Amino acid sequence: MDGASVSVRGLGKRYGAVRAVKEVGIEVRSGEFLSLLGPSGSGKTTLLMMIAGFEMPSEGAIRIGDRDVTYVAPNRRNIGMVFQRYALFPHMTVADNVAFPLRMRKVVKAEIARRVTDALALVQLQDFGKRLPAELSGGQQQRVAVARALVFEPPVLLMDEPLGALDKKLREQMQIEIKRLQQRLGVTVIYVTHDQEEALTMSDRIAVMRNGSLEQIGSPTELYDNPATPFVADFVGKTNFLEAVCQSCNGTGLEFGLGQSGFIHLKECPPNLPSPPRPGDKMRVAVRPEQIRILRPEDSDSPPLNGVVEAVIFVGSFRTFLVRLAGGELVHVQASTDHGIAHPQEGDRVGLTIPSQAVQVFPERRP
Amino acid sequence: MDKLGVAEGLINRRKLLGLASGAAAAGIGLALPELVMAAPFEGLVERARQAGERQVVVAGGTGAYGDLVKKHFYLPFTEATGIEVVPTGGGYGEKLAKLKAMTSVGKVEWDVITLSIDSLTPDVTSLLRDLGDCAGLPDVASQGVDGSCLREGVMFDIGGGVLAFDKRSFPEGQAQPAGWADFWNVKAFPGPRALPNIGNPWWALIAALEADGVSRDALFPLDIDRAFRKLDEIKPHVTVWWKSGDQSQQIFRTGEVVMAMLFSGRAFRLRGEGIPLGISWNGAPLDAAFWAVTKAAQHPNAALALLDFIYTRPKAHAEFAAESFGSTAQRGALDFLTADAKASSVLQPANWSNIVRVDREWLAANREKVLQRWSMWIAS
Amino acid sequence: MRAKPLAGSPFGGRPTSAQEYGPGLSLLLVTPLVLLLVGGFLYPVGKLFWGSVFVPEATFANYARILQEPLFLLVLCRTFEIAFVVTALALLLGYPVAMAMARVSGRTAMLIAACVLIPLWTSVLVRSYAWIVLLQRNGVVNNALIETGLTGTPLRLLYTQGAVIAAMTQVLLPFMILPIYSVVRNIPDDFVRAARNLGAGSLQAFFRVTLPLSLPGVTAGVLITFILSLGFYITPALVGGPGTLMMSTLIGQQTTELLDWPFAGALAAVLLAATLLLVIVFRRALALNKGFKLG
Repeated sequence: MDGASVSVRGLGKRYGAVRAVKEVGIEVRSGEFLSLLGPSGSGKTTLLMMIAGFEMPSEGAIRIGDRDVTYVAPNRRNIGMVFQRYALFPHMTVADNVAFPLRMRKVVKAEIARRVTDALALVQLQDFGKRLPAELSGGQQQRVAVARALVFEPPVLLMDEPLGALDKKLREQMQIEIKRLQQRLGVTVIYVTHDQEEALTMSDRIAVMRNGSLEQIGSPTELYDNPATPFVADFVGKTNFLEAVCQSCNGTGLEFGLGQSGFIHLKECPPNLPSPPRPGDKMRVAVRPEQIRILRPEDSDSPPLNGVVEAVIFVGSFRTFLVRLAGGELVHVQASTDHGIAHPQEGDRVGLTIPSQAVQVFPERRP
Repeated sequence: MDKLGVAEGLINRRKLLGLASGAAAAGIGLALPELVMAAPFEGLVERARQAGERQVVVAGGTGAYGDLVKKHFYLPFTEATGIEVVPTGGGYGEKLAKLKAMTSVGKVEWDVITLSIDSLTPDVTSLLRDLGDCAGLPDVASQGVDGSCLREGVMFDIGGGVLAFDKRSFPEGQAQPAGWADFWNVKAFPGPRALPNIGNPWWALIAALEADGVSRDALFPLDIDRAFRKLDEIKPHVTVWWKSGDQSQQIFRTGEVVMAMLFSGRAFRLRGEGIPLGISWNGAPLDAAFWAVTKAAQHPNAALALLDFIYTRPKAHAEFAAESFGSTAQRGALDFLTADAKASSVLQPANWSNIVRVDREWLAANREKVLQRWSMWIAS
Repeated sequence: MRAKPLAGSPFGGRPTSAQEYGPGLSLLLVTPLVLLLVGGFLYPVGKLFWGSVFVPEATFANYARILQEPLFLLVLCRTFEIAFVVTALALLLGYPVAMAMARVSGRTAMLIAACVLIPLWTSVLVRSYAWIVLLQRNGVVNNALIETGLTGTPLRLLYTQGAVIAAMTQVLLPFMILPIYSVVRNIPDDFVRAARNLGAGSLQAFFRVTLPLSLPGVTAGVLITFILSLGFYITPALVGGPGTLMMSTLIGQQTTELLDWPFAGALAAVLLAATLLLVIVFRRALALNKGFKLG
């Protein structure tokens, strides 16, 4: 099966005075895996419901391929969908569930039987056709839901937090399975999640939603490395935010003062700022924990930032150091576990350096 | 039991028959009629005095009806004779059961008992004093309507299943229903009708046979098949088969029917409310209560005096009738009724002679059969 | 039902975490109800049935009489006929209302709930008299029909089988609506959405998904309504005539008017047996335990 593009333009949804979705525009490419990421209440599910046809948009248009489906009934959109709680029909067997969309499309009996078998084989449940959904585990139910959503070969598959009810290990396994299936079938997937890790793992692109608006759309690396807003920086991956004042901006770069804690030096003006900051401007500086390097006092005479290690957390492949800067800010620093090499201990005085290219700078207040 | 009960004790009568059926009347010999000298009321009172009977115990009606009886008859009786009336009472079935119990232990406390005319079956008559032709009660013969003397008692309340019709549907000056044939004539007298369904189907059978042209003398034994055939004709036009006296009044208040067989007491009550009812006694089945002296009465002479007393003083009867919406068997009361009440009073000789008396022997023999057939007929 | 490995409910993995009571405590908790049932139901009913065979002497005469006298079979058949029609009508009228109640929200939902519940809180006697006012010869319905010229003379509405069916349906409607509502309300929206998404039109989604999932509620509603109909006493007695005589009235006559308790017991036993038989057949026919349960 081939995927279709999905185009959402100027889409909005009002519930009385509340605007759940505000003028969202997204172009999903054919065969793309796009995640809608955002906290609850960000409008991502409402957006999905409008694409599926369960909610009528208050404004804007939705196109699938070259077909305008804004006002098309949900049963005529030919979109697959996996629901948060799977929505398997409890009174039908697994096979009947999977056959349902084919029966609705008046596919002939023999063909139905063949395609149901194939679809169940696709999710490795070929022997479970005669069971009732209630007799399956959560993971198995999830697979049936996927098989049912794909059996009629829709060009687009919508998934509404499909793994939310599974435990962590199963979830990670299913993430891989779904991603593989999507690549194999070439279907366009729009995937709603509030789990940034899941979005980063699976997506070609991620659309970050906040308060009904699209905050940023881009590949996982783009979002991670160049978040457009502090919200994205905070929501996608972990970030340290530091309050800073611009001190000088000249040919040698930018210098941000952090009071007693020290300073941060950038070689050039960050591209996300509309205009270069002027001396005295208050800014927010964002740094990923793994970008910060810890220096022992003996390594550097005058490190840009100074602090004291308050705690060391061992996470397995890496350690997180909580460092209290001289000015009082708490900074998370992440370093890979280097066995055999001594690392700073609680109470140690340490210096920190931040590579210039690893720093994001935002104006202090966004409107 | 109050006045309504007298007229509507049919269900209770069925109960008491159920109770009574066990106690067979066998073994109790039929007493010969006592020779009582015809004597005026004063003579009866004198005999009571001589016998030292200072009181008479009456198992009569209770409630509002009992109060009316006390006011119009008991108290005047005491005033006239000095004999005190001790009232007691209860339902028909209750009273009868008690009387049987008292008789069997040989200590009957009651001198007078009032019962429904339908309860005069052999096992009951054996408990009551035989009054013969009531020659000993001169006022019954001279003041009572024909047939007032029942041998084991004397009639008191009299009424029946009258044909009542709404004059708003059949106004004066136009044709008005005058008998059961007219009740069946839905062309001349259109409109929905009502009949009782209260456990006395022979009333409807009598009406049906009357309507079918059976002469009044030839009614009994009732031709049951013929009666039901005739009833089939009217069934579609009977919209209400009333189950209680209250309901029978209500259907005229709301205009649910234009004519019905009603207890006469209920018909007069409706008139009292201002509902313009026409009342026809033509072929109305008799409903009556009687007063009797118990066989083992301790004050038999006082009791006989009381039975005679209730056939004197016509004005009191007229007042009692007006207040109770009923009538008694005292013929002279007619002269004291209002013109309107007079015309439709059961005491009018023309009305009284048109009343149909149920053949008690036939009823005793056929009651169960008729009840069964009726319940099937009415339910299908 | 076979063991369910994970999910407590087919609608998602809601775990069943009910604390289990030991046998002693359980027994203690149900004792009052058991005593009430034994003393207030089993004993008197048992005595009634016992009396129908052994009073005054051991005989099946009472039961033979039911078979011999056509009246009793007639009334039994009519009772079932009326109960059947009332149940069917209540289902037809009640199902859409239950759906509406479950699907709307806010003021409309409160309004519908009030329309359903307020009659339920009103005495059956009052509601039956209300029907008399509506249906009598000079009642609301006839007056309306005459004023609109639909009929010249008043129709006969009261004391008919139609009146009994209409009044009983109205009185029993809440008993149909509430069980269906409670089941439909618990059917997640996602099922209908899934059906629509998979290609079902709104009618197909209803018949293939909502309707089958609401069947437990329908079964409960139908059984309650049907059983209540069979034993209905006040309404048929008030708005019906002798031509609509039902079993309960007949049994009532035997006990209160004719004092024939053994025969009343026999009639009650026959009614109970017929009811149980029908309930069993009905449950079989609907194949209740298809392996899923709601809520």
